Amino acid sequence: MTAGAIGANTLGVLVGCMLFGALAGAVGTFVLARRRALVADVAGHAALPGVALAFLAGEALGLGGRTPWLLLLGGATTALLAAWCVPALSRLRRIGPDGATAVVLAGFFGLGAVLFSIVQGHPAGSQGGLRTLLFGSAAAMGRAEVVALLALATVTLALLIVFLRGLTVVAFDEDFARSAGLPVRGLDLLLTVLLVATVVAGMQMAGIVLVVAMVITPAAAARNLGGRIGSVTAIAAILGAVTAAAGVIASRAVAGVPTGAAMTLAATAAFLITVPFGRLARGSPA
Amino acid sequence: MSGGATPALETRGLSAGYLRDEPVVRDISFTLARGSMTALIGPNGAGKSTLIKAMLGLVPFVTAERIAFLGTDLATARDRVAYIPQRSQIDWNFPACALDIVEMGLYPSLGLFRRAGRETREKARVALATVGLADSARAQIGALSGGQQQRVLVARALAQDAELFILDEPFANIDAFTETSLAEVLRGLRDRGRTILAVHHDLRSVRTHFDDAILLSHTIVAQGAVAQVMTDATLAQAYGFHAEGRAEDRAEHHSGPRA
Repeated sequence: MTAGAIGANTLGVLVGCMLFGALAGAVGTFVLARRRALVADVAGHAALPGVALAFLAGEALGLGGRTPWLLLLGGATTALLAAWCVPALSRLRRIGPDGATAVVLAGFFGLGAVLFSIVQGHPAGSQGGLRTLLFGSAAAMGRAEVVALLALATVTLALLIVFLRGLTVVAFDEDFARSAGLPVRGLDLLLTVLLVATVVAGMQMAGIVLVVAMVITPAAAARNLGGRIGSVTAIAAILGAVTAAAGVIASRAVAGVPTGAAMTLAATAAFLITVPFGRLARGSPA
Repeated sequence: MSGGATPALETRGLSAGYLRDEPVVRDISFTLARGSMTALIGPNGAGKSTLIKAMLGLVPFVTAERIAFLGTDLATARDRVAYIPQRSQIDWNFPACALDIVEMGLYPSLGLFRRAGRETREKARVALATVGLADSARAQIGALSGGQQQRVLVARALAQDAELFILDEPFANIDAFTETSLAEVLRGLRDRGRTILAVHHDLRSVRTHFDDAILLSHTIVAQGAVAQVMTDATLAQAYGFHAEGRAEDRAEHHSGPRA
């Protein structure tokens, strides 16, 4: 691919994906620190039934099944519901967080698959592109999407800075945070909302199955490099942007490769490169 | 400020557990005078950690007639009560340096948004120096030894400048040097009128480190001065069949050179 081949559209897509990568890396740092990595996976998979329901609702209401804001709203609603279900079920204690995560993820995704088969039977939904939604495509990104991503990234960054202290202490030592009177539930809710917003914003590009990779993998790579929470967040954002760009370029260069899959491989490569740094820094086991 | 006569910590009729109707500790009543230094001892699973977490509101099911911190409720006394959790329950791979963790001790008084001024930051540095870690302020917490990590947690409580210190197993899995210096720091706090309550698992060192003890086995078996609490009869009651061995072990130890 030559520089001349990068047209205005590709540039827009590239900028949009890099914004998403940076956003996902920054949010992912706090999600990973709070040990909620799999909630990102749950949120991605659980967006499917919401998107399908939003499509059907859009058709029924005469708005059209492909109304973007309705699809995002639908996906965000079920993703948030699922993300709330995991800790609620975990509190039952007979199941535990890992069991609750698996039950919720599979349940929502199963529901989504059933609803999507209905959508694809629908005349307007036949070219609905389930494969695109599962594994991502950055082809259709327009100016409006890029602007929306920029707004989301800005708001998220501001919230992360304002609540940095609370989010940090809750992630490091939850019991101390509670004993110090910090609103642990409110901070967890904030992080969940930021996570779901990020996942839903990225599901078109990265796909709902692999969007977890863009949230967690750059953050995990940054963690390997050590440092303090601020520098780790910055490095995760940079790695997210770079690997997202690499994914877009690769998926353009090789026809038929889904963008989300290419981004995931790029992020995984970045993670693998940082593994030796993590081992060096730890030295002996703590 | 409440008068000196108010106890540092008072609990009456407390029962608590993680499942409804299945309390781990039952009918707990005790009072800690200001400036006292008390070990909370008992066998594994006796509910020692559950008890202190219950008082701090960290356990889902708690009933009590009264839980008073410094003569008032926890919400009011929060910034004067320091809690030091078990070192093992914390993620030490968290990306932070030692000073970052100690500064967390300033949060109970600062809240979510107020910025830490130079003066408060200085408090954190002094606290770190008090536990002998002035040179490790910028060290990654994951690179510290277990004993150093424990001292960082104690420094966090010192930075908070609390009146009541509640510690969960502060002497677990640390080196002898840290144990000695930590005990010294805690005694220094007691001498300045602070109150210490610590979960402690090593029966042999209770007498060395503490003045008073509470012996727990789901309910309180004995409480008072260490010598009165740790008798063969009370230990047998709390520890069951293994008590004989433990009591002998203790007796042997105390007749030995270190006692």
